[in-house]
Amino acid sequence: MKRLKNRPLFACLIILAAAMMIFSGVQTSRAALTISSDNYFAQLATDEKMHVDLLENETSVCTSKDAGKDGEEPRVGLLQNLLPEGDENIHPGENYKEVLCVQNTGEMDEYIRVVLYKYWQDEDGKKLMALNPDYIVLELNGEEENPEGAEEKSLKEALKENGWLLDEEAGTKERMVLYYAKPLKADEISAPFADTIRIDKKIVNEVLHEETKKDGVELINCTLTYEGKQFSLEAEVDGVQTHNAELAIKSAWGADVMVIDDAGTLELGKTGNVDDPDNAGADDGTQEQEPLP
Amino acid sequence: MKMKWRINRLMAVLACLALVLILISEVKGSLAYFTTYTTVGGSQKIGKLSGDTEVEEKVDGNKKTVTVKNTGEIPCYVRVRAYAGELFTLVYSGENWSENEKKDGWYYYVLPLEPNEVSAALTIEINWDSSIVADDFEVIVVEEFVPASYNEDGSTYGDWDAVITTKEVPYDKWEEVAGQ
Repeated sequence: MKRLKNRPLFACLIILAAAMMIFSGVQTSRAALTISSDNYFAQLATDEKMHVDLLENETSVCTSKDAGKDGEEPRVGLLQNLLPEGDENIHPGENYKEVLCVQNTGEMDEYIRVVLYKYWQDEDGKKLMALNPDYIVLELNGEEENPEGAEEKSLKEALKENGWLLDEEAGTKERMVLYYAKPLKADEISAPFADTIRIDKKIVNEVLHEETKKDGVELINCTLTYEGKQFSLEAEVDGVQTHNAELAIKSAWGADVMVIDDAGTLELGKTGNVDDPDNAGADDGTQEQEPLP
Repeated sequence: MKMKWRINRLMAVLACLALVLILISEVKGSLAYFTTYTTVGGSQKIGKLSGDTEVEEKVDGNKKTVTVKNTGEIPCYVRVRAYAGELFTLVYSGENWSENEKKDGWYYYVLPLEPNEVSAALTIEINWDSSIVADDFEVIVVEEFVPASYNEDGSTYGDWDAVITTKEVPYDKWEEVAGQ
């Protein structure tokens, strides 16, 4: 022991070695669990220098700087100032301003994914799966009016013009998944992925027809299906590092993307090197990326 | 001396091990991908979708004067027509009351009625040949309303061709039914 005391460096190394052994043991068991449940293993980390904000009508409604824990209910912020002053009711059929953009409020460039959910709730906030999310219409019309007679652009085309990629395979009636094709630079604000929201006027004509029997008398009760219900919009905004983009995006979001040019433009689809972690060096888009056969 | 050498060797091995472990952990760290995340939600309530109106009639000689009041909570559009026997002719007049293009017999109030608002009067003049009709007779006034419909720019119109779609099953049981 005396010798150890005389050699503080060795003592430190012994302690360090013991600590590392224990630590590495824990890591291995965690890694084994992850590997068994997934194709491949990657660590994800949050960084103080990476942040995103969602902007609604030019106002930040949420920021990753005070993000809640995973699984927490999202904070309330969207649709709160939808109605112009003096209006109390949503008018089905009328367009309301809902300009949604993402801002990079961190110090590093990042790729952005937005997942939007739209659904109906009853007065108590219970989700009503049977009511139609298609009646909550989120649109991107742009400022220019479409010329008379011109065919209306599809949402996908309109999004593409604004630099957003719509992942139709990942989407459902309730969910929309979007990727910003270019890396968003620090402080940069993306082009909008929506600018109006409308409740389809068809909700006015949907009636629920219920027949009940009370004391032997048949009662028919007709109620408007959507009257008094709430429509909800939820947005998840994710950012991921631009370095090693294809693998980072595959790891973080499980999505197959290709970097197609030097500017770092993304395209949806599979590349050859995503499944091959050894080929991880190619992140600058200069390497040829042949799609899998 | 032997003891000292053994300890030194042990130290050297442990030091190497520590170095290797540090290097490994460094490599692992650089494989981590940096991500960030935020989420937000919100909702808005759909208010009343159905309205209500009351019609008021006054009879003065051969004239009926009709006004309609919106007694509901949302703006609506109203229309009125009168039914009488074929021996009678009806002449409608009133500010902001007019027939539509189809001339379907209804007189439409062209402005939306806001809650509690009363329409301008619609006067229905009833004319008949008194040499043929001597008895009492009836002229029946019928009034209808639709909740105001909205265009994308927020302007309103009365959608008189709206078709109601009904579902027979309460919405909280739709999935059960669909699953059968």
